[in-house]
Amino acid sequence: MSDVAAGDDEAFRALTQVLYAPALGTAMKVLGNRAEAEDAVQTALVKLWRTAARFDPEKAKVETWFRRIVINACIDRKRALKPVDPIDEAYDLESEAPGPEAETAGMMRDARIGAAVMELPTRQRAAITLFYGDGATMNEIAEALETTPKAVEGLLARARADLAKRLEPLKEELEA
Amino acid sequence: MIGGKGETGRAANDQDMIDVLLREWASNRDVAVPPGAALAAADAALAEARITPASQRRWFPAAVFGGSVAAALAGVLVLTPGTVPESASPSGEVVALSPGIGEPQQFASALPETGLVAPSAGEAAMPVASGNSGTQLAASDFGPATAPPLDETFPSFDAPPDDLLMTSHVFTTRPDEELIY
Repeated sequence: MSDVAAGDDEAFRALTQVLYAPALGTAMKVLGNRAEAEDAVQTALVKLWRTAARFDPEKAKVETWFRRIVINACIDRKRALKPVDPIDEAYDLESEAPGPEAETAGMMRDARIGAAVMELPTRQRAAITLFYGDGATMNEIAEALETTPKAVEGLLARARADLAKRLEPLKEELEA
Repeated sequence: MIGGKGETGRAANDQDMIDVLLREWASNRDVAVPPGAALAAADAALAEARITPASQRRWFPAAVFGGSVAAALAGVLVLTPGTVPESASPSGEVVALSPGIGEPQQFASALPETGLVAPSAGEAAMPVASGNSGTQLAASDFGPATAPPLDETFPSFDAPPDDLLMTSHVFTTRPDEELIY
């Protein structure tokens, strides 16, 4: 990371190879769209390069720090974009016919949960992704979202309550 | 079951179920990244980072315009600190109303007599504001002894200057106060 801060292109390429896939996964969970997720990660990489000198290894790991940049890039991107339904976001599973990506029960379940999560506000979505996917603590999420741990608790509680309502049919199916 | 422990227990189960589902969903991040995609992204990021950010480009003209306006305003405020009230003398020559105003250099020459420290050569060489406010400031800085005496001579009504004429012109009586002859 110090090499990246010193302006070493090769170090940046090597670091990107490590960080890219997990960052893309996180961005896809938050944005729900691969194209937008790739753009957000691209923005985050530019920011990583420009602000590498500010990275403090004693405060956080590179992965945690970059995840924060990615989450912020996703939130900024979602804020800037008008709410449109992309064509490839056809996994809103209202249709009875299973698509090629929903052939297995697990994939269908994932897609239904993903669709429900996509209905949440961006910050709640980011909090859910970090809490459940990365096992991030309240403090880490608060730092990533530039808010307080108390506010994160509120975000998560609202998101869970909302998702419980939206996923009620899925729960009933699973319990049956 | 309605109410009691059963409902609480069911709510807890629901929450657990939600947690399980969400954990499963959020942990599943199998994103197929084509080989070379990360390198391409790195190169694109490097290229983007080395050009001027769009935000800066967008604000540059506004910054130039804003800076010009600010500089012009500052110039107007600094270069015109206040004008000496002037009046035309009967001969038509424009003169200052108070004697000494507009001649701040005379204070510096009067300093040795008052025992005060004279300004250095650098201070003496500094431009002196030609306005009224600048002169008064200089007088107060060097003490009352150096301040010019106030002109307390009352204007003659036999030969009224323009100020008196203007006063009589502006402050005319209202219709209900007009004298009836």
